[in-house]
Amino acid sequence: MVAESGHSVADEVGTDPIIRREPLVRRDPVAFGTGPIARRDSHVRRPPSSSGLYDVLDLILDKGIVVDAFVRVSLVGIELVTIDLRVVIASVDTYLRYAEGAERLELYKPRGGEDQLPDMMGMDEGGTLKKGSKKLKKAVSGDDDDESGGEADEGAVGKLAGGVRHVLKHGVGRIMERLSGEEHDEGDRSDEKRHARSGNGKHKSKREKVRGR
Amino acid sequence: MSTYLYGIVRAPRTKKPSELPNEGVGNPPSPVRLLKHRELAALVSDVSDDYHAESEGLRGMRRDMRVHAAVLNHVIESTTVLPFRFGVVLPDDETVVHDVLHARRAPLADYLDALDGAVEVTLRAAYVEQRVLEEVVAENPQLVPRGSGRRAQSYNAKLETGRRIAAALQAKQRHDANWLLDVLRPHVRDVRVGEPSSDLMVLSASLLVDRKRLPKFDETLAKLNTHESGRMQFDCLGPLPPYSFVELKL
Repeated sequence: MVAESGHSVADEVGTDPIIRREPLVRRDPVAFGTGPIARRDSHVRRPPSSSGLYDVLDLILDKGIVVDAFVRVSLVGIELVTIDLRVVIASVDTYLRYAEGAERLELYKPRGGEDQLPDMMGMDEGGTLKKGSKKLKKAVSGDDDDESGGEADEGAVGKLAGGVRHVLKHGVGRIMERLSGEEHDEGDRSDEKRHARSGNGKHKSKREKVRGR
Repeated sequence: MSTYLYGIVRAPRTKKPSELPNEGVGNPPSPVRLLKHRELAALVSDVSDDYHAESEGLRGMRRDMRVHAAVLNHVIESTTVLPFRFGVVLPDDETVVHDVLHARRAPLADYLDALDGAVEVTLRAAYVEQRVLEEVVAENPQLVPRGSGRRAQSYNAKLETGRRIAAALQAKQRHDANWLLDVLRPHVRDVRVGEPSSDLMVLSASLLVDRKRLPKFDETLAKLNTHESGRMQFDCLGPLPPYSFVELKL
């Protein structure tokens, strides 16, 4: 590129022709500042201008000075927000997901000789199953409430994909999304997956309940 | 025209206060202005007498909420401000002066003193699921039956395992939340902790931080972030006006 300009460039710049032929200096991003990782970490806190409405919804609707008699926001809106922010109990699907996740961890764990023996004997598994069935009735009856609240809870315990905000948004539910106008496509998709799985699970537990009786 | 309320500041000593946004809430919006009474001043703007947050629908409400937050965010950058909740409208300026600035002078002045030079910073920390599951299983090997990976557990055994993991997670969350607060406490004036909204949420809190101590706070948070990299993710927003620290009902 530099060579194309011909000797006129050299005339203008007045430099040695050899310099013209040198490649452009490659910019090493790591050379900037103290390194990319360090720079990212020093800015954990982000300014409010970088945030959407969702981040401050709780603050402006539920906190701050209030003059009761003169609030011009309908009560319904405020109630929805406070309901959404309660602690969400883990649903049946969450338990399944944890158990499956733990199983996968076991699967990939390197096995020594000691680990082999109980496994082959099948003792541990038998013991666990016994415990499992004892607690079954308790779990099923206890979970009746959870199942009905399942739909709401599913969002609450969604997978942490894109960071904390993703988790918080699931926890706080659809109404907050509607109010703030911010979309959560990832969440919707993973909710559908969980719905598909939960269909089987819920059906099974109902059958178990009948048998247990 | 009625008077919409954004916040309370100390009446500026200079004749010309720092620039206020030209557009407040409502459609059409009016400029934000200062309504003074002795040593206090209210940030207000005119709205129609029948103004209601939802009168323009959800989109209008969102727009007004953003404006409300933006006006206060702008002010907190340079001045201590006591923020109002969204949607407070008084019949006119006189009522604001009489019922708010005059009648409640004492508590307002007290709060302005107490929150002087301080800003709110919201902090949320959440676990990275895969990593924290690994931890829970490693710390509680009895949770997952040996060799369970080879043969899938029954549905109910899974449920029980999952429940126990969830319980272990809760204990871990309580421990880590306290630890995070211990690390940050020397750099904050006050804390308001909210309920975690999911299993993976470690901490959801509002922190009151001295403006001057923000750099040290940031440094500490950055160290935490590095330390917990891959295990926890942090979401921190600020400086905000101290919504969570002005517990006043007028």
